[in-house]
Amino acid sequence: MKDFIIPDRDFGTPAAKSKVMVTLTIDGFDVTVPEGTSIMRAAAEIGITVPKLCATDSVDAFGSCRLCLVEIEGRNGTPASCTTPVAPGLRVTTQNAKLKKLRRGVMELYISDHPLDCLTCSANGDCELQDMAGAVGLRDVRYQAVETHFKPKDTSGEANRHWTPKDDSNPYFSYDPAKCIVCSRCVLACEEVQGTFALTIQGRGFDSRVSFGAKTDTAMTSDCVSCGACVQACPTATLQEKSIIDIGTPERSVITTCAYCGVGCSFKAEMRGDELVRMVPYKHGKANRGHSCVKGRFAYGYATHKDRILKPMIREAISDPWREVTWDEAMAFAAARMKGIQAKYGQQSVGVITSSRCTNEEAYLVQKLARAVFLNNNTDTCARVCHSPTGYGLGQTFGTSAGTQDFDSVEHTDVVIVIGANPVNGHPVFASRLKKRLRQGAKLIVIDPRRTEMVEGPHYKADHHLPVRPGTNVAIISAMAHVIVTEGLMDEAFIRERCDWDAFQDYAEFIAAPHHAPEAVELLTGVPAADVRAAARLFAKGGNGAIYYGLGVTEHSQGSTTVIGIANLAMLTGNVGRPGVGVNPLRGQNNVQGSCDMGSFPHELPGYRHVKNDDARAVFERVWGVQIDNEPGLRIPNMLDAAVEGTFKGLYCQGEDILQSDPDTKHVAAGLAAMECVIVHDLFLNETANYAHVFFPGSSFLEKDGTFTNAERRINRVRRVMAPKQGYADWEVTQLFARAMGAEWHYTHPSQIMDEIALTTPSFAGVSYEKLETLGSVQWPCNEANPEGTPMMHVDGFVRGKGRFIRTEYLPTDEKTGPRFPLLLTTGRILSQYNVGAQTRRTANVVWHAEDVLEIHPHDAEVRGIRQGDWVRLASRCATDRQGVAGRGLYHLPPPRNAGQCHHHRFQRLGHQLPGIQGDGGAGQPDQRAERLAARLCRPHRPVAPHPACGGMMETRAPLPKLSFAGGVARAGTRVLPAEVAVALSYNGSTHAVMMATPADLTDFARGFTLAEGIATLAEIERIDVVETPLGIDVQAWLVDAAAARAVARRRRMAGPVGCGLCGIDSLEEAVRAAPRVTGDLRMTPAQVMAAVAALPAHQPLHDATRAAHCAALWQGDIRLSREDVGRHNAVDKLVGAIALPASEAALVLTSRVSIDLVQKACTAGFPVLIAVSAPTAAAVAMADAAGLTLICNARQQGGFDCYTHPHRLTDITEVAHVA
Amino acid sequence: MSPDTCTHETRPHDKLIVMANQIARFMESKPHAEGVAGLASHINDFWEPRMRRQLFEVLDAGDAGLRPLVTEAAPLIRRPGA
Repeated sequence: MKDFIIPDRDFGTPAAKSKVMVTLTIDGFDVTVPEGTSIMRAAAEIGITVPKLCATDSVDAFGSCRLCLVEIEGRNGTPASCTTPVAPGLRVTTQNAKLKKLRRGVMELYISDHPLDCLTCSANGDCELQDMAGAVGLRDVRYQAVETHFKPKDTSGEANRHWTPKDDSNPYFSYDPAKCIVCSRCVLACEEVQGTFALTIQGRGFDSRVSFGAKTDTAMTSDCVSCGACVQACPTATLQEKSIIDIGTPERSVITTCAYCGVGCSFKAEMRGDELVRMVPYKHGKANRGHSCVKGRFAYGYATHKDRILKPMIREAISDPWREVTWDEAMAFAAARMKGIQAKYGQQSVGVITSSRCTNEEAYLVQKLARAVFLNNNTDTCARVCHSPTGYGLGQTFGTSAGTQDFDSVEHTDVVIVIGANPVNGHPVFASRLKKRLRQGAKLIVIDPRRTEMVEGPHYKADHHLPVRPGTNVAIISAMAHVIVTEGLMDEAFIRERCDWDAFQDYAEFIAAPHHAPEAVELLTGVPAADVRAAARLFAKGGNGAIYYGLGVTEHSQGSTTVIGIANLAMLTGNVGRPGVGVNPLRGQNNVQGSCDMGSFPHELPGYRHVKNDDARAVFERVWGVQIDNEPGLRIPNMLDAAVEGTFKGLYCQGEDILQSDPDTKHVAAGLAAMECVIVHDLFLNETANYAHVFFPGSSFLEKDGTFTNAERRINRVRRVMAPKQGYADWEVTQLFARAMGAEWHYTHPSQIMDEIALTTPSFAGVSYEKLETLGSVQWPCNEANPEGTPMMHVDGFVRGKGRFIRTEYLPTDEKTGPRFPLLLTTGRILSQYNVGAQTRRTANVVWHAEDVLEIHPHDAEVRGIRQGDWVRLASRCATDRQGVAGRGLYHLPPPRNAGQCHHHRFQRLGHQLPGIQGDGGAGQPDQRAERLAARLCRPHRPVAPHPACGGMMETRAPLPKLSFAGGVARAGTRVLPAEVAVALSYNGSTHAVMMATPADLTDFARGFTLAEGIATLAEIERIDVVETPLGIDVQAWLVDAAAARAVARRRRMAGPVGCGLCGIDSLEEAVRAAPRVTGDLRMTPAQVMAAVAALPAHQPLHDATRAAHCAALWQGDIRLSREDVGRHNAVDKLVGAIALPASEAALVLTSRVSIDLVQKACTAGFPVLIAVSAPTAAAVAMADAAGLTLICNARQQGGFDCYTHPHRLTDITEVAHVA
Repeated sequence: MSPDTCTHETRPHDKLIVMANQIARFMESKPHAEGVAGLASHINDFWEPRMRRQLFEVLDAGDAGLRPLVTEAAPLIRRPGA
């Protein structure tokens, strides 16, 4: 199939599913098709293509273009073949003189309102309108259109009111209404295939146009999720990929598999030469059935991003700069180090991490590297942090970790439980198929703390949304099982036949206990008992029941127990072993399933066989010719523990950024820093590479052959469509390294690696590249018994024999809220970004999601004074050195006291810095989902860092360089300036005031502020902590409850919370917001600076009378305007208010000292020069420098002035004295 | 553990104690003998020898902080060689 495929035939209408067959005659040929098939499709089945425009086989027939007319013997008229179903014995004619004439007439009308610019049209060669004009023999157009939609101006030269300009707002495709024939295919695709309903037809008759929602909406402002279904459906150049417009049509295509989520969509990579023109979802892909999402369809630009590293690099120590070397040198260096480490610290002192983004073959080789070359079992994968509970939970209950169904199964489902997953964002192509089923009437139960997109959307709504408190999944699942058991709703016949009856009775006794009743559990979960009962009854008795779950289940300290609970629920209700039911884990990354299958875990050989089993080891020992260690190896967290202890020293980490993606960043960093050889093998210099000694550049999924295994266990081919930009496919890199370590590996193609997998691993025994070429894909187990794979598991009995019920005791997570950390943080996904964002952040997908968003209940937001769009800061008990990262938004509604965040950008770093070591005892699964947050989630900010010249955050002063001007001579020197640091003052975790302050005596400051503002008495202050952070100082005051409540009330009453008392600014975000860059080109001579200062007193009448007022003045050749006030900020504000902005040709002259807020004001107003009679703070100098502002201070009427930043605006300097 | 302490600030052995206790709490919901056996085999199957060695250091020093089920299962846990 590689490099050559038969073009996808468009059958015009979807296939019918009926088992009843119908025979008819079309153009004299007999054809037998399922009942419900359209005549158009029946004709297509025997190779007769009826001309058509509005029909395509991805959507239901619409019957609007009237081009597909046929004649049927014995029936009147010329029905449309797309909307006319077959019937037994019909005799159909698709082509005769009458039909030809009718079709030509239809085409003439279409073409009369279509620009005839085919040669320069971007769809040239890829346009069905063009094809149909040819097919019907259109030779001339008799009609001269008076009004058209495609001419910008009408014949009189006036603007044509029917013309609409091209919409280029989407980064990936354009919408050109001038080319539109209003066939409605895009609208139908958006509805039926994607289920978003963003597109509609607006207007009637000649006025009808395709529209993105309201009249003023563009593709970007509409609900459009950029899945590409409309672009795919469009027969003309109306909706077209911008890459086609830029490059031209492709000349060949290669079928491959998307490297984003666990759905594993098949795509055609359409190429011109070595250039990827577009990715088009492959109609025969069994996971996606011709659909796609914005990531797979469009976000492939990262593969050619400039950040990609293309040369191997090494360095002696992580403090050294990287050195580019040849592959040979990199291999020799890495191998020598690893061998040295093993010689010095022992065989167990090194290990590997396989990737869930790389292919099966690559994961297999990396774990083989550990087992057969390093001779230990120290291999692990990131699936540790997401899906090992599934392996444990389903393995214990059903006998295999396999998800039970294929995605097609959802078409037979009657009741769906979605728990801990948001497929609309995380697995969008599956979500589209699920939503289609929901629109057909299937019932939906969503168990999620947040009101996610899955709860309600266009034409679907969950029948029950159970908004559990994070960390109580086990409790809610047990409560549902309790209802089913105590109300007798279980499928006893199924349980008796298929499950271990004794285990069931034990479980039934356990689950029937009153403390599992929904009424008792309500206290834990926060979900009304009546809702739980109703949901349980619906699931038990609603027909085919399927459970889909995601990382919200597994990434918890009780992940394994929840998976067991889910399996129990499926067995209780008899929902295993047929279409439309089952337990379906939605895997996160593209090859989580495959990397687990391939023996990435430290206790399991490929095929989930424990290393303690002699016969399993013997299989590999025979093939590999080595002795395999029979003790389990280290898991990722334990590797890091061992590294900190000094017994683990070397790591080969492929395609994985553990520093970003694993919880507890500090611990990961400490472990990595303690190692002597860290090899990172990736596309980009990731965060982990900061601790690496060797960097092997990786190849993208477009540059290698292999296989991915998706969430339905489907093994899909990944095909090389272009040469690896850095020289080697990843499997070759691993092989080079193994050979440098002394291994005799001689694979010349990944198919040989798959052959070895098939040879050693029973569930893959029947898999080969030849078979994948023939069948397209197979679902394991694929062996002698199931030569074409196994779409559905446990059909005639569970893999373990009898299904086993297991007790599921709820244990509260150690992560609980309290007065200091009152919120629970969970993470989530958003559609346009993927995982830690390494790929999607390097594509135009950032237009949908440029930064991370914190979702917080409006009540929680209000009491903290957070508004929509504010920057916020998070902290947990583990992250006192929290970073000032931020998110914005209040758009979903998690229940009060929960906050959610997506984890694709920097917020993730923070989120992962937070947790402790709570893990899943069953699977060593770190708990990422329930983390306590400090309530210092508030109005801050990106606190300003101290000036680099300051010795540290707590330094009160800093010597800074300056140019002194006096007597026409400029002299370089230094001056000690006061430091100014962002200080946030919080009461019991809620920020009360933020200010710029001198970082000294801050405990006194907090105590005094508290007393002087009347917030608390001395006795009510429990403790004051001064916490230094990299970005500012956090002064945390802890008050008794009554006083804390007073502080909150006080804050609410204030129009703006108390600021620094000087400037009235109420948040650090405002206080230290980066000043906009000034570009004004004003030039001043030293003499003019002196004259400006000298002229100032004449503009200070209030000061003359009182000696107590500040003045701000605008200088432009002379003082043009001035304002006075007791406050220096007020004087500036009054001045700015009096002038027309921007003041890019003027200087701001001040009588005061300069702090950062004045620099901000000056820059915002556009002044390129700020002259002040007093000194600046160190932070003000830093900010002025960054903003391009010329900062002149200490300007006296006599004696000259000092320039601290950007002196290029000073001209006519007679001499510069260089002082040694 | 105090609710406001950060668990990762503690010593590595404490981490093992937490993990062992988590497994114990899961196994405590099973019939007693099955729980003891289950706990031991879980640790044998999933804990690398270094981790088991450290667990025995805790056990040998008087099992401070371990749940009784862990202590009870200890004879069934494979003691790694020196």
